[in-house]
Amino acid sequence: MKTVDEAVARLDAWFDTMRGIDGYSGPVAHWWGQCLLFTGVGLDWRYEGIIDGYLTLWQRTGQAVWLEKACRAGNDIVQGQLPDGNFRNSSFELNPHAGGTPHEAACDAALLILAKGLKKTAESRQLPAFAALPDAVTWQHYADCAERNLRSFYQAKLWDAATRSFRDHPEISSFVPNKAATACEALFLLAEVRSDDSWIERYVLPNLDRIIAHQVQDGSSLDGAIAQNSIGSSVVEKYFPKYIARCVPALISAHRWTENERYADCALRAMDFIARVAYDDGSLPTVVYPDSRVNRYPSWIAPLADVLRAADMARPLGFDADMSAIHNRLLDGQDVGGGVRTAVGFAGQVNGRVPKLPDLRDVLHVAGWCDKVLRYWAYQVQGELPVIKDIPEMAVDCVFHGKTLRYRENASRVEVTRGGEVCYLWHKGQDWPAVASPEFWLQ
Amino acid sequence: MAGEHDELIRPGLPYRIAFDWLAYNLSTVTGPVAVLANTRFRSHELQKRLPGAPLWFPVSERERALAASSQSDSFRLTASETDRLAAIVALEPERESMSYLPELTRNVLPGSRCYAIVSGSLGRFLAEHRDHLSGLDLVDGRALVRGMRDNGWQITSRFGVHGLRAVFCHLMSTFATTVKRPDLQDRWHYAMRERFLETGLASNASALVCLSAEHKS
Repeated sequence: MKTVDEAVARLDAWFDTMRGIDGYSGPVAHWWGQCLLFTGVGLDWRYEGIIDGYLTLWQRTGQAVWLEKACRAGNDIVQGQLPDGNFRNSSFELNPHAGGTPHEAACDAALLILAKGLKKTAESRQLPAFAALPDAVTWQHYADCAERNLRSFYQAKLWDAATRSFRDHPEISSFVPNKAATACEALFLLAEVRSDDSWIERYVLPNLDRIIAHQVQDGSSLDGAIAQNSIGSSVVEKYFPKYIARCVPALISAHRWTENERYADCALRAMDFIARVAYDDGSLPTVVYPDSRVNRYPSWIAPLADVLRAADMARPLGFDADMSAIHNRLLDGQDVGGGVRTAVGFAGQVNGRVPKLPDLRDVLHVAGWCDKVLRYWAYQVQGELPVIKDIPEMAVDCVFHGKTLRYRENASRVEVTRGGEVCYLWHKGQDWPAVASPEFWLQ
Repeated sequence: MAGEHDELIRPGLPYRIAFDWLAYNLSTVTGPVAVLANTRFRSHELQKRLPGAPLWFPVSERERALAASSQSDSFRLTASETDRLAAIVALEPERESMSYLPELTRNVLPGSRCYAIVSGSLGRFLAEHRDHLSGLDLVDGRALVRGMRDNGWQITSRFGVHGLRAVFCHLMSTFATTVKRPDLQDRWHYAMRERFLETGLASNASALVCLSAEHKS
């Protein structure tokens, strides 16, 4: 049976194949839509798992290579910061576009985790590994970049003084709990790195209070669920377990900070809801609606890592559900090339019917999902990782918009053929595919 | 409508698909590309997708020249700028900017291509038309095709973005919202996205029509 150490080593090797000149590239498949044409570097939430994951690997193994990779990823973001403080191509499935949420906050959190780790290292004089870095980077370098984004974008443009929370867009009165939670994670780290609590009192706690206000707390089957978003005062009552899990880390940090049980209660209710709606095979409904209707598809695989991370963080508070089926589903989702599949059943998103063959978007390995896996698995690594020298080619039959295709991926490219004819060809690292037939233009 | 946060305003789905299609096609073009685009919105979206690409905006150049000299005839396309055009792009051109097409066409390389995005019959419903294009004397699809053909361009492919099938699915999604069925709202929404491209005659009844052409010479 495959161990987590082996899985991480292969995932790292896969990530190396996804690097372009200035960062991690690749197509995207998501609930909201796919981005198969723009395949360039995205400075979006893929970096939260890449940086945190590599930093954790360094901390757990002491191998300098992981710190170098974490810093290299941090440098990608720093170099991609635009004059106005936003990050280039930070919108994930909506790329190429700056100002992506929660993506820029996720980049900030990643930079601040890195800054915190480097600062701690510098203060404790554990310099040998740090000194091996090619560039004379300092923790301030990353903290400054993150703070600039948080000030110029989140504080200056997204902060809504009337609702005391972060908007999802400067000009639209909107609130998305999981996105605000990601910004809160970044601000907790900024407060810690800068030794400045004012960020928490002024911005974090009001946002988290609003997240609590979006939670169902009535003892019903939806108890613990957190509504996806609100526009003005109108709450959109759709409940995405994966996104609910992304609210949990910030709530737990708030409990630790304030010792106020409201935050722990919200986090535990959220995790209890997720555990309650989980299926025996380790899958989760993608979205739960108020009348208990669900859409099971696309049934996430790689994104489940965020759920497992939240579950681990909630255990000290008393969360005790068995998540082993989800853990196994995630481990089983890794392909021979090291990437982890995105989902099962993308083709069933519209009508609930899932064909025998996987959808192309199911088998696609997406940097912005696999990073979550790297981050989660990195915390379980036991020692030095095995060396992976070659990435074997992966090939699988799949369907896309009713057509049967053959998907192939190796270290240098992703190729999709139909009846022997190439209908999609992406040379890894390139901004655009060399070949894309019309079905790949859809978003 | 120009706003403080223009840089953060994403184009709607039809424009995103059209611009990405354009960038995908231009990504393999080597050599200068002349772009007929009259608003910053459209030129910015293309430059964002192809940073560093040799895009050249003759109309913008002309506007700058006009501003500098206040003489409407002072601007001419020079041979050094145009004698090596690898492609021409028309992004919802105004009638006036179409007058550049003959001169640009004379300076294309053999094998050059022309790409165009033009409003279809449903284009007026797009938010971008209200915000960026209102008041402009835009060329309609038929006139654009005629202009391209008159200059020796042969249309090789055409597709529509956000046609009637997508509109129907959108209306069903809206209806599902009205009757408080958010599950069906989502399903119809994604059904809409699956039906967002139209080919053949149906492409005319779309919000945007995308054309590619090759020069007969």
